[in-house]
Amino acid sequence: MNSNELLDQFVLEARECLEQIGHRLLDVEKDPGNTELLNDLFRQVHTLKGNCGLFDFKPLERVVHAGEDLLDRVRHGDLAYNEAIADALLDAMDYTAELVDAIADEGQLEPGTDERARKLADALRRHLAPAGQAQAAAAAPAPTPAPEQAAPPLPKPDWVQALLADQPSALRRSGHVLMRYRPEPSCFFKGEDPWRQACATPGLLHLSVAPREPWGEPGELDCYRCNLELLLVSQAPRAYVEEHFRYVPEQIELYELNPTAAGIAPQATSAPAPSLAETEAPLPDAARVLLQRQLLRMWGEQRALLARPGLAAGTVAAARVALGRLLRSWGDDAHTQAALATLEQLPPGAAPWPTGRSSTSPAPSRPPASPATPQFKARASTRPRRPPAAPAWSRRWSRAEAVGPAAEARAGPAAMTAAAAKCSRSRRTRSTG
Amino acid sequence: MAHILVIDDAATVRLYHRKMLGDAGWQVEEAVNGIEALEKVASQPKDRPFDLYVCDINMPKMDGYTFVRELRRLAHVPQAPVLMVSTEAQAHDASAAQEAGANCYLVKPARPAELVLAAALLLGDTAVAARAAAQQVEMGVGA
Repeated sequence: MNSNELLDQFVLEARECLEQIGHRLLDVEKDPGNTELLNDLFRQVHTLKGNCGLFDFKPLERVVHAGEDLLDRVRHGDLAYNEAIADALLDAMDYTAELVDAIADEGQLEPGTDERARKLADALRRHLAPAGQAQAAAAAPAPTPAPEQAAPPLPKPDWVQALLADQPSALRRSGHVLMRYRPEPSCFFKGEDPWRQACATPGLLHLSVAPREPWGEPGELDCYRCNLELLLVSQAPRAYVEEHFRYVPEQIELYELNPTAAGIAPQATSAPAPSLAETEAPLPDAARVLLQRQLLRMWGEQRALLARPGLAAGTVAAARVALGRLLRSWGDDAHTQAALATLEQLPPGAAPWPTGRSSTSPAPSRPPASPATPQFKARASTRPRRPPAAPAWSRRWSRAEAVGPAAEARAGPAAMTAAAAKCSRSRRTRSTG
Repeated sequence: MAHILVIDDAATVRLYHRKMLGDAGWQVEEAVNGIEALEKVASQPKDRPFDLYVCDINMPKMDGYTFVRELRRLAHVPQAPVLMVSTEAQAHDASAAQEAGANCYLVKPARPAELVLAAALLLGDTAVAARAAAQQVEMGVGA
């Protein structure tokens, strides 16, 4: 299998989707209240957008994503389907078909394609604006794209300089991406979680958060309004950071650090950039840190899963399988082995010990006096138990994570025994309830 | 060799996942929706159950949430972790996946190394996990 095969499949399915979308747009125009038709139309656009995301076809994804957002609002009844929306969708899909043809012919998209994609996406997104704004936008001619829409946002010297002034030189390196993320005040009502989103930023080196405006008097505080401003430094390529925040592009500002560029903060230029050898952590350590982080995150997810009420028996069993496999990946020291043995000895079903009566309950295993550090088998023989000088960003990340479920998982085997006990409690509750 | 079932209505995504997971050394089968996935689960030989499910959410006929709920009710098949992979990036989507019984959640499109790392950890395949983490670091991507 090669990438051409994947691209051929993409073009084939994109054309199928576009054909279906064309039919459905006509159907919906005749019967705009038909939820089934709208859901089917949405699903086709959703599939197309998902496929676009597998490739670096940003103009295509931009248009299709805007169409998906619009249809999502329509199918949920937040927006009434009308002729203007239909026209915008048809225009967007016509251009999408052109782009797919270009991909089929050339295997890529020309840089110039993005300008029209942005205009079409803007035309779709104008319908998403609140009613008053949408009417005003519909009455007005298509506006010239704002600078933020026409080009990557320009750095705001205030926040860029403030962020740089606050950072050790290790973070002020060429290629690092600085970002200001200002979630919209109503983001919580959309189910968004800006802090979680920021914590999961690729290549995150630094994350700080501050109120966007003064909090005001306690009596006037609206706790449902997001008043946060998050500042980040990432070592990932800018494109990855943009992709991570692709659903809130209007809420982020990016600045790629380059000491030779004009306008760089004085603090950055005064500190010479370290050599490449200094900037890159030894690969095995960096990979190990990443592996630990991912494992702890997934461990926390299992703990959170087991903490849910009313678990199905199969969910408990699957979580136990996942915990066992994560433990095996964790390492092979004595504590981990003991924890793994405890987990494996738990009978599938009945609780092995009564809960809530610690004086009579045999403990599953004695937790270690201090939390064990994750050890990966592949590295265990050659690596110290903990990186001797964990980079500052990883310590910061750990602090940021300490508020999440992974903080519990950090206790390693001790937490495993607690999780195992939870397995048993869940089973017991289910079997006795 | 670990045995994975990829469930997604988009043929392109199935091919992408098959390539990424197959290149990691695992055996991959496909289903186009939850119903077909349940049929495959039910018809698996007892000595060759699936070790991991990589599942989309938004699918016709039976979506990912329903599939996982139904899977977790099956008493006669060995249970295995479910890795949900969806374009839905909101916190409530991850929460809904967990509520259905999914073990982990990735936002689509998951980069190859990211997908393989998550799958490797859920399979307990330490060698592949180490390789995927190293690859992710090479690309300058944090977790």
